[in-house]
Amino acid sequence: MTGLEVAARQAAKGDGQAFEAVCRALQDDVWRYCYALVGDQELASEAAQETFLRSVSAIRRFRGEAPVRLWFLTLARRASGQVLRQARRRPPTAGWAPAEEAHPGPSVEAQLLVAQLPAELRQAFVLTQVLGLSYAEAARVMGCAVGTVRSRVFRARERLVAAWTAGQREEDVNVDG
Amino acid sequence: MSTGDLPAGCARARAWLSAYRDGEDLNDTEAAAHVASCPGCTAWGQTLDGLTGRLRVRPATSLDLVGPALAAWARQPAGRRRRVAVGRLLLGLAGLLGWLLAASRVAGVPPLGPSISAHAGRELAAFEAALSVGFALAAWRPRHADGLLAVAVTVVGFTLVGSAADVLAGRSQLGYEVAHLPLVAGLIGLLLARPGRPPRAVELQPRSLGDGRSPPATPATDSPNHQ
Repeated sequence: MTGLEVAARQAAKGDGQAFEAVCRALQDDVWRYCYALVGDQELASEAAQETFLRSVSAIRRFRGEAPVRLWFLTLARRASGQVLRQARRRPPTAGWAPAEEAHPGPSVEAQLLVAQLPAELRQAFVLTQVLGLSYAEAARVMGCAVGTVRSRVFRARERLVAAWTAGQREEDVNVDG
Repeated sequence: MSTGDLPAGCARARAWLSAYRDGEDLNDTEAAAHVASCPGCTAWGQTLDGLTGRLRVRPATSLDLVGPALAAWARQPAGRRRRVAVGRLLLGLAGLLGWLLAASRVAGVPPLGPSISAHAGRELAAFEAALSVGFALAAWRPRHADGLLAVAVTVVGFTLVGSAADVLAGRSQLGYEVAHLPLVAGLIGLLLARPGRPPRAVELQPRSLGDGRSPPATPATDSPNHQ
């Protein structure tokens, strides 16, 4: 059992320090998944906060049947759903803001491509490629079949490769002209 | 480009390659042979591998996402423990007093208020005894409190409305109605001791999170929490 799983069990018994350690260890993954789900940085932060708030009472029921990371990600999916529903009732704000604009780096364009994926593909892609979950784990978090994860990851990649290739071709044309 | 434009063999081979790159699908020699012999699929695989390297790096946030949860955690246990303790005490008292009252009726001790028939008195005693046992049970095991709550609310509601009407109409006096205090104490005890979600201690304030702090997203690094 990893240190994280041990800490999660201690948190379930009421150990505040262990709870903090678990939350801090998982906050990036939770935020990334929320971001993949809601597609907006501000909403993702809101959803991640809501996830951890929910975990305060829910962690008492954690028995370690699943790895604690999957447990938190499942909680994050529900919290993101709630945050999205609330956001739809609010007046619309600026939608997609690519995360890296203030800090350009080599991966900016690739990030933008992921951002443009449909939500269900993006979700499967981020869980498996960014958080490194297996297809089975991702299926558990998403509440769908393993085959669905497999096909969504593939479809996401198809779109990414196509968009990337198209982008490169455009660049070549610009350089030549 | 989508699977629709591709020959079935290419589509199947690329789907396999996608899963294979994730270590999910290993035994498909046919698809592997196709990828090796099809220039289009080989190129697709190379673009995919190049792209994967770029996509591994990801934006994260430097915001403190767990602060509100930690604050809620810090407040919740102590406050709740005290609340439950008070609730259980009230439940215990309500159970004991209610049971004594019920027993006194059965034993024929005349009630405080206007007398009722012995038969009605015994029926009333049965109800009081039952509720008292429920209160005592909830004092012992607070997880039973939720189940009893609807019953207690109904009984207390009916009793208080009836008592108020009787007092106002002059059929009873306020002093006689103190006999209902155990009921009310039991209801309050149930509300305090019942398990359930702790009250949310911290308001979500996502809009003000960025104020005075670092920008909402950092360039992707392996330790995105640097401040």
